[in-house]
Amino acid sequence: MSEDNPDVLNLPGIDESKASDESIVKVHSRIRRQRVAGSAVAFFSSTAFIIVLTFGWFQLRRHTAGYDPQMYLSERGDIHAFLNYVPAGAGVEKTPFEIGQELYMMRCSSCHQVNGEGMAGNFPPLAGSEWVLHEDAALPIKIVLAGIAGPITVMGQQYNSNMASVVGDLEDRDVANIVTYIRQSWGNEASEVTADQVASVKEEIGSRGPWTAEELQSYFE
Amino acid sequence: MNRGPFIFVGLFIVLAFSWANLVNRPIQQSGQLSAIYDDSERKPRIAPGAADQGKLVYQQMGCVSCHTQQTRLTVGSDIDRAWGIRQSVARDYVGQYPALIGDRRIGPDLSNVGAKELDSEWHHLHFYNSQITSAGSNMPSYSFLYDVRPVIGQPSDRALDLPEGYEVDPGYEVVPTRRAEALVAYMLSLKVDYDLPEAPSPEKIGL
Amino acid sequence: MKFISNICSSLWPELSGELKGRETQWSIDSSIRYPLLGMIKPAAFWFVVSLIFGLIASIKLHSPGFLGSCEWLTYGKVEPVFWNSLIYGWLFNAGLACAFWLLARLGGAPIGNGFLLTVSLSIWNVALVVGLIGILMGGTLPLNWRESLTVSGQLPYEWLEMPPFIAPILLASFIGMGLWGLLTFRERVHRASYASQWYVLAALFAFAWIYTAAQIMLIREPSQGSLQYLVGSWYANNLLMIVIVPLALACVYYLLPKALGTPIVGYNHSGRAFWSWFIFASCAGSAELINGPIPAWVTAVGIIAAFGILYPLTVFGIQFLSTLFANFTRIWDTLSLRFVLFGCIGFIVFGAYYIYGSLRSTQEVAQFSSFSNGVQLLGLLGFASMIFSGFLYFILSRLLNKELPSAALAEIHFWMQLSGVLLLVSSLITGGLQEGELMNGSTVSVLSIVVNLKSYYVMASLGMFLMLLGAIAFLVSFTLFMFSTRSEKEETGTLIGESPELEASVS
Repeated sequence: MSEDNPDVLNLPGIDESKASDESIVKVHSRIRRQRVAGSAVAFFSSTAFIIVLTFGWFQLRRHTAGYDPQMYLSERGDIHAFLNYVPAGAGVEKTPFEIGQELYMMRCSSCHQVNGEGMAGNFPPLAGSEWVLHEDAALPIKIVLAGIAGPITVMGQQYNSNMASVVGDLEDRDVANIVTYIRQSWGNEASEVTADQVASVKEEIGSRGPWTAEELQSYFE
Repeated sequence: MNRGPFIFVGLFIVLAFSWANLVNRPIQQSGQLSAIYDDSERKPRIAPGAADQGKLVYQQMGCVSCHTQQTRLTVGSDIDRAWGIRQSVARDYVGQYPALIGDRRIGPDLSNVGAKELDSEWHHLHFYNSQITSAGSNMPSYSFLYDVRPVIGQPSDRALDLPEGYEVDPGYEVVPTRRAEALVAYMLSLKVDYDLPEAPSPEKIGL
Repeated sequence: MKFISNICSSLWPELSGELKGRETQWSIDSSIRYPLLGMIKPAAFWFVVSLIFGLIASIKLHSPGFLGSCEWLTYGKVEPVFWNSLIYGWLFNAGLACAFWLLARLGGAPIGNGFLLTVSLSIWNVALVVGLIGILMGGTLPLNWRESLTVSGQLPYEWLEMPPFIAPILLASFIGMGLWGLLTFRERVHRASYASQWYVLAALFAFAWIYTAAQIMLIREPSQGSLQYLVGSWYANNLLMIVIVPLALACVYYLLPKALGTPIVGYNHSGRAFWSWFIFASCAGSAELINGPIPAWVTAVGIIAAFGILYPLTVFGIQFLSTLFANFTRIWDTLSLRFVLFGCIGFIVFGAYYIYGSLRSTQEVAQFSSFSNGVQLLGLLGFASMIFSGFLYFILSRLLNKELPSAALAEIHFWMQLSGVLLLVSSLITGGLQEGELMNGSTVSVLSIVVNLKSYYVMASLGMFLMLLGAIAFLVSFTLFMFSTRSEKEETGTLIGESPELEASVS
């Protein structure tokens, strides 16, 4: 406590207030209204402002690459060399079925197998499955988007396991390609699926956890 | 300046300017990029399912605190260090949420680590104890992603082959958990070894 | 029992005798005492907590085995917890407490709605605890990791790492606090306004704006791939430059005339400095994304904006330093001014490094190194934290009508914070430049760079440790403030004298 031994301290117990709040507001607001010519602040700050403008002008001219959204280079020499480079070969379009096949092999085939036959008891088959071939493609899209968990009957057989959503970082177009692939291979013959269909199903179900078979049973009634 | 509304309206305009020009305009310009299908591959690549789970482990452990996933072409020595083959561009991250780009490198860049000649065994040893594979590294040990368990019957074929000095007690083995497997799958899936038309590379700018 | 009666007398002091013309100030202080102490308590707590996490993170860089087997304390979790608790815990609570006090005092009238403020700040702090535990648990709350896989992991955006569900709670409680600030400003008696008030109002508004924008563009409707990186850096830069820095500037503008008794030199330039600061600083975030997967023009504009803060920085530098140096002999025997002096110097150096660090030639060397963290810490700890500490000492004695309980503790706080921040920031900045030179300018293996930088990492840990000692000294000091028995002098209205009028001298 400061009263006990004031000699030891070089700090007072309380920082004194040297100006009332009201006078701080009033005096400064008066200073703002005054016109002051040629102060040091004005000189240095306007010098700084001129430097900023000059710097900004040169940088804007030199490094903005014409505001091109696909240009990642900022030096003129690099940009010139890049734009004059002649690329080799043009792209080849692949069919949705082929793209879907690639994606299926990466994402689905470990459970449903390459031949779409699944695994007895655990993973239901896709070949011939009434869930996949349903005339309303929204059913398989829903399962692919959100996954499905718990017991399910496919072609009269019982299966029980958990399927997580396969979407991850896939776009609607890729999901559509996967569903198209499973609906049209291994002897399956159902309609093609478009990205728009996937988008509308996605909008309908929002983000949610896996389905259960009962929730989707209405498709078979 | 004496009125609140003046400050608020002024500031609203200032912030709206900053947001509209430096956030919204780039998003309008290049927020709708999509993958390219070209030469029988999708660019960027689609990661296998296990890697998706590994990405979550990567996020949970906050790996982005020390590792970036972006390579630069014209400055730095990213290309010389073989961290990448070209400049990273926006299309490389299409569909990634969240994109683990990062802005701090205490360890190496990982955007192309899956293309290196490091197998899953190397990655497992590295996560279990980085000193085994990289002596002197300050990467933390992720040994909590591995089970140390007694060998019952046949030793597991997934058990780590620990070198001398790092063995566990005899009769025990170190087996990766599902999280460790997923993380390694993620590491192996990180590959930017394809070209994109808009991506600058050493040959395109004549370096 | 004694503690209870002491703390009661701290929270609801009754003064005997006359107040010697301080009736208005006393009634203002009384009207906000309870909510403000409710912010200073968590502030002191978070200051210590954040530096403990900072110390752990810092030690892990040179001794990776330290607490290595604990999944909750792996480096990638401890580091974001340090930044988040430092910013949303210490700097927000302390900064808003200072800001609200000066809003109330400059408004000149006792204010109500204390309940709104108390509830909001309690929600803020509870949500923060939950959010930080969320980071330590891997970015989500469910204990079962399988469940958490379907939710999300830690978000990789700087200073937004907390789990997404915390964000609406934080935002709602912040809006509660911000509304309180707005109501206080509206009910002011003095119609003229002062620079401190502009900065506080601007910071309150800016945080609500940038936080909402970042949450929407990163979490609710995430933007595509690399653009998330752009939104993230826009948010982090703005949080530092147009939320925390303005709060600290408001304190400087208030404390300089208040404790020195002279007006700010060159105050007539304040309006220009204010607007130009917000225009340039709010656009500067994309500068650090140079050469990344972001269109080149975006970073070019960011670099220009970052350079632009040279103009307001010149004004601030001249205003603050000339005002301080014109009264140099009076600085040292006022505790709060000691903090403000070094805080102001810290601010000028921070601004200079900020501009230097955003130039193309510097980024070519220092990108991705600890340089930018060093500059950020200089702004957060060397500037804002110094200013808020000094300001808290100034307002605590007025809120509680008590004297500084121990000058020795305050001195420890001051010297530890000063030396700690110097050591920490200089090792991060110089170490960062060396790191960048090796990392970006050569192909030396990463392992040998780690070995090379070890001494810098150790120095940074030492700096963190000193800062931690300072924070503990502040916590103890604050506790003593609250719990000490009131002396005879403190029970009467004579402890604090009447403030003289500010003399208007034209510069």
